[in-house]
Amino acid sequence: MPKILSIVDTAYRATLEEQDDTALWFTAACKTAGGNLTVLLTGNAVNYAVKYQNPRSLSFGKVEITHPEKPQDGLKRLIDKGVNVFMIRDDLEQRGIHPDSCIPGIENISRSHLSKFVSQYDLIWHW
Amino acid sequence: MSKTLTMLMMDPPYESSNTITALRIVEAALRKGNHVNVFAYEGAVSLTFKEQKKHANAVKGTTLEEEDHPLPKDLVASLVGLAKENNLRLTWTNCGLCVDERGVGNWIEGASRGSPADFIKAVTESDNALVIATT
Repeated sequence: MPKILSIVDTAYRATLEEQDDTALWFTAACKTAGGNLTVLLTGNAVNYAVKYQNPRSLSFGKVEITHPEKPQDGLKRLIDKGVNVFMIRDDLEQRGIHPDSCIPGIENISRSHLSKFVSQYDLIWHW
Repeated sequence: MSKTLTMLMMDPPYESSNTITALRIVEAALRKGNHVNVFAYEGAVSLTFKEQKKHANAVKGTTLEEEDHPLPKDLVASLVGLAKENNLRLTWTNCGLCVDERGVGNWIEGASRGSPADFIKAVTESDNALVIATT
């Protein structure tokens, strides 16, 4: 089984209408199917790790989006499945996100170590 | 000796140059004698939708025949044909949930319904894998 690094860079892509993040959902499904996957959050996707996100339900006329995704919960589900999750510390700092405001269980790495980090994997999927 | 490439495509038709780039990669791999597995995820499941129709282009002043508008389903069908002619394997798997969300289950011959489990199985059995996500 190849070691796969799933890099999630684009954030909040259809998370309201899908009620999940499509890249994280796909990663979880592949993990359930026996894949050996790790997730790396980069760019705006580091915001997924912030603890207290609470997207409100939206209504369009009489139709309501009842369960908008809380991305931090999606990450927790992945971690609970045994997926290791990392994020780029520099991307957190650039966005003024303190590590204490993030959910536990995610390891930070420096962008300067990215190439060495990536070289541990057989396949890279960039989302 | 043939190798196998597995690709995930995500963009819907007519929205991004990613689609044409991905289809060119598929064709290049087939022309070099390789097998290809495509997993169509999210909007890419509409690429094989059978009810796509050509149209005239009033802005350009072209008739239906003059415009001869390219349809993604025809491009995919042509690649499926190319694989067959050369005794190669081109599998085209549409994400089932993505199909249901969009109501595009009426697809051309050569496509089938599947799930991420099919993708990870194909990846495991391939020489390489490529994910082309929407941005």
